[in-house]
Amino acid sequence: MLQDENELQNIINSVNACEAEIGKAIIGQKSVIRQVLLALFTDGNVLLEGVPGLGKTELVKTITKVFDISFSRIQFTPDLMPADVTGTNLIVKEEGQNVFKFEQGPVFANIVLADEINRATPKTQSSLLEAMQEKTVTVGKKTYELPKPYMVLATQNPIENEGTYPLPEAQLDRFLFKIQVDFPTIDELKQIMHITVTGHKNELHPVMNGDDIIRIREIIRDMPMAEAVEDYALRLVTATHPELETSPDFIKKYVSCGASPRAAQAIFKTSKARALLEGRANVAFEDVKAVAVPALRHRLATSFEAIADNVGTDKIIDMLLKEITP
Amino acid sequence: MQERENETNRLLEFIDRVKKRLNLNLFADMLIYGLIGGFAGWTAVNVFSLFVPVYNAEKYGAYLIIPCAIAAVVLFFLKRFGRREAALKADLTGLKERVTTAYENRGKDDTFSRIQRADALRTISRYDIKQNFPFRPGMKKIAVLLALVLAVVTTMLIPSSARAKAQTQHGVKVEAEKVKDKLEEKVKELKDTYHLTEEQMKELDELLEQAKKELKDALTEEDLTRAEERFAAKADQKLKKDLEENHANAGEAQKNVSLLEKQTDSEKQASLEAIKQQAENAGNMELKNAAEQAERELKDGQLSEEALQNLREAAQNGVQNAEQDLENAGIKPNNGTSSSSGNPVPSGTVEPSGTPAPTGDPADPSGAPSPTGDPSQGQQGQQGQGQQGQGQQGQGQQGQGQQGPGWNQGSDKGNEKDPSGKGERVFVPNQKSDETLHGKNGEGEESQTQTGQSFTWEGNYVDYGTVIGDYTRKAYEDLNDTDVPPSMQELIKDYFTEINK
Repeated sequence: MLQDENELQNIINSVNACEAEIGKAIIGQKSVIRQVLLALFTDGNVLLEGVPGLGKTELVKTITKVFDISFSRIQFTPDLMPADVTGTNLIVKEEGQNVFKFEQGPVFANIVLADEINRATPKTQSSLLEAMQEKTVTVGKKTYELPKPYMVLATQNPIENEGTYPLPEAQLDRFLFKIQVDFPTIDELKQIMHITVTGHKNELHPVMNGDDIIRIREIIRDMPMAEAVEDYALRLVTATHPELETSPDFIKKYVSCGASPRAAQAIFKTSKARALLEGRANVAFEDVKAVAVPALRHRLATSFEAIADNVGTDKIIDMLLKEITP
Repeated sequence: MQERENETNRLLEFIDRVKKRLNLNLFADMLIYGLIGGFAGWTAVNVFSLFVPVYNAEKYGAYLIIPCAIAAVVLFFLKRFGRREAALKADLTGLKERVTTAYENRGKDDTFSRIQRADALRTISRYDIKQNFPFRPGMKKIAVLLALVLAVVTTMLIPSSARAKAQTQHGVKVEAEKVKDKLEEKVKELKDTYHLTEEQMKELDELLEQAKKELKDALTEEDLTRAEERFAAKADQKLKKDLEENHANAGEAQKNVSLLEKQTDSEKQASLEAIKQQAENAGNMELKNAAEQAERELKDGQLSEEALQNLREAAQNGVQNAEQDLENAGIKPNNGTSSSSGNPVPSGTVEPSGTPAPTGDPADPSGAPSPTGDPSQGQQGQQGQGQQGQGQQGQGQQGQGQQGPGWNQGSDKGNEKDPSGKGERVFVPNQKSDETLHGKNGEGEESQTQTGQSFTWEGNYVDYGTVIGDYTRKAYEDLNDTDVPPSMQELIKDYFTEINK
């Protein structure tokens, strides 16, 4: 429960400071940073999609530094085994006896970077499912809780699809956001060159810690949301279903499977977080609109017509936002 | 608690102000839409009336504005903004759902709700309602409305034959109503003035209904005049005929009453039956009742003097009423029929022109009587009425055969046979001076032949039974009055007995 207005203001100031600190290391990508933070503050996992070299891994590292939380990175490859992710029981000698001792895998960290997740086999990919959804890991008969706060940041390369294992819909649905990392502008690229090539590095300082993140998560849950705004969010999600008569025609044409209720949860939670980050104590329609694209883009299965017409999910969601008005 | 209430009140006050503003705009919009609809309808009616005759189309068109305006007001009430909608509308002008959220959480007192409410109040304190919701009815709508007003005025001023026709038709309609009232008044007056039977009044009503239908179908003033004239002519003709019939029946009844004293019981019975029928035909209920009373007494054994006196008085009254009616109608009573003096005289016969003379002379619109028949024998009785000749009505007079010396005397059985007057009817063509055949004024049917400019009475239809009855009665009367040998008297009586069977 929020204590008073000062606490709210402090949080807002802290988050702004975090963004500023992250901005020292990550040039541009403000929208990506904001979206990652929204996911972090709403206990969600993020799938970052972008070509190699756009600073995805750097972004994750920077966030862990600014928030002073533990970080581990798993490079997904086809030969990666689930035990390599979750950890395994090893036989160790204790007091003269051989006993099994669980050796934690890289998944045990506050932020886990699952790099190029689509390169691992589905079996290995699915080893992350429990961690992402339940925040636990089960090895043998024992279940281990993951540290709090916990977040999986997975990356995937939209090109080089050969030898990859596209994530199944069920696993995609467990990502709160799918964030598109775009190529930086020339100015941003110049700044990136200045930092990376010249060896000039900004010293990063932690601004918040894990407890702060947990506190923010609690506060965001209590953020008031007007009925009209809730209705609007739900109408958006419902409208993605082509099987419904009320859905727009382009949805019926381009979408083969609509968004799940997790999409509505994602929109509700992240729009509240966005309102907080915007310094408001209530959710607005614009918050819903802002989070709709990253929350819905990986939850819509497009039809053959969409592929034939070269209409991607982002375009479909844009059309939906124009069609469904507050 | 108090602070929360104050904040809530401030919030509600703001929302109410927004709501008022929104509703004002909505009302203005609805009213303009309503007026646009009304004026569009008015224009359409005006255009329609250019081609189709519609009286007062402009007025009806104007009336369209009222329902349209009412519909606009009703729609406004159905669509008017509530607080929630007003809050949302305000939020959509940049308040970022602060007002809506605060309105929904106005009853909550948790930290977030308080912070949110305070944030909302801070925001709305800088909010200018008039600037965000200006009272500005759309210029396009007003322009459309003005264009329609112009269209209404223009279409109203355009003359057309359909409009002129509508005007004329309306004038005829109004006039027809006046004529209808006049005719109804006339019929009422006739009913009140004259002693008509129920059937006669019903026939009069039928005439009126027919005239009303003609008036309703009338398209021109001439049609109205013709319908009125037709009714007047028919009513006059009918009235005259009815009054004469009534008079004849009254006279006949009086005559029968006068004969009662001398008759045997069976004859009295027959006469009373005839009197009853005649009384009914003459609309004399008093006489009918008296006849029924007499009939009862006769059945009981003896017809009292009092009953006879009642019959005489009733018959006398009936004749007087009938004569009064004729006088009121300006018809000369047929003196040969009966006399109100109490001395019954056999009815004057309706002997339509012994000669085909009683033609109305169109050249003589006064309708001066043209004596026909033999004045030494007949008496001028029924007036023949000529038909209009080129709008003029000539009136002639029929010759009438008066009661002659007769040649026989018989029983009253002829009348007894068919007292109702129904049954076989005998046409008596061009009767001249056959004194033995007693036609009665107004009785039987008449045939008319148009002779260029007037009508000629050529003959009369009389019931067979009446003819025989008349012959028989006359024969019996004459047997008493003349010196006929007893043996011959028996032979004559047998003869009439036979033909009465």
